[in-house]
Amino acid sequence: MNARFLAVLLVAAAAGLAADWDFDHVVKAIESHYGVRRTNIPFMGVANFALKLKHPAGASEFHLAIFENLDSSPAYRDLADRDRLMQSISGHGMRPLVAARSRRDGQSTYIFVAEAGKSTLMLITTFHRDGATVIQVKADSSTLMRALADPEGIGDSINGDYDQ
Amino acid sequence: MKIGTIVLAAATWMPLFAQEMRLPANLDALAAKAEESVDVTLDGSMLRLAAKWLPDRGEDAKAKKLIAGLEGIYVRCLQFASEGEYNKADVDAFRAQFRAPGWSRIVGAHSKRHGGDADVFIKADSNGTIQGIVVISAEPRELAVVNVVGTLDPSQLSDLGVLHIHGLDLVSCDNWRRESK
Repeated sequence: MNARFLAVLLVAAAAGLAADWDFDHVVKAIESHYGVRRTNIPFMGVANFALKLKHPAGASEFHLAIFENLDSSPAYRDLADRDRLMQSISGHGMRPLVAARSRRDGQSTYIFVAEAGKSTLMLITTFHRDGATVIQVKADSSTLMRALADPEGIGDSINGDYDQ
Repeated sequence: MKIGTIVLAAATWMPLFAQEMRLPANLDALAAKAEESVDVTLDGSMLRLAAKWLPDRGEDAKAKKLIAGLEGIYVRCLQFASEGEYNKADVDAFRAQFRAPGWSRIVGAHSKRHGGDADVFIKADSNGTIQGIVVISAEPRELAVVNVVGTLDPSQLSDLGVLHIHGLDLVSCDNWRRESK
């Protein structure tokens, strides 16, 4: 193994660690802010294997966390509070791309992106009326374009594909 | 919520200051009242990232060439539950900034039927190179602003639609006429 190849490997490994850290950072911030724990997802390993084969919505390398009963926290219905929470999370290489809020549906969607070699990491956090999902995926360009055109739809699309 | 139905605008902080432009001071307050809102932030590094993925063919090639000169695209749109939740004077004050030297209004449209206004302003240097575009769409229940920062050749104006950021297609007068029908 030559030095150049080793350097590339190290950079790739560092990028992978950073990606996990971003996801964990967001999950822990939500847990801390609302005083909840993420929901344990049975057979997550099997689901991830299926996702590797299916690549829903042009996405791969899934990390998923689901939160339930967030509405038990008094702050949860405050959309501005969600904005502040997500703004505090941005940085660390993740840049805000889209923030969409619907007072009517009680839903907020935040999409952050980061460069990951030749592709892009998308971190999509969707707060629903009583729960939330945090998804980190490695996305292709068409997925990002869809995120721009319909930010709430892309979150629902990836969630929906995961549910199947 | 579809960004496309809305339009808009602009964005936030630094790029705006860079263009010596200010959003209505109470926009955040308006956003708090809005039933739905969308902010899109595509800064220079993100645009360069997007350009890397785009293939060199068809509309993607046009988009890639377009993006090369841009420093940022910022969109902010607000949709209200009912009419009269934002003050038109705030939007007028925002528009007034583009009476400054260097800025030109290339589209100004008013719909009596829908009560909406759409304005497109461009900033050009002495060579005719476009340095910025601002689109303001103010409808009774929707307020949208799109701010494009960076250099564009005038011939590229009609290509903005390939970015699929609705609102930018209003830059084309033909598209505005079509939308207003």
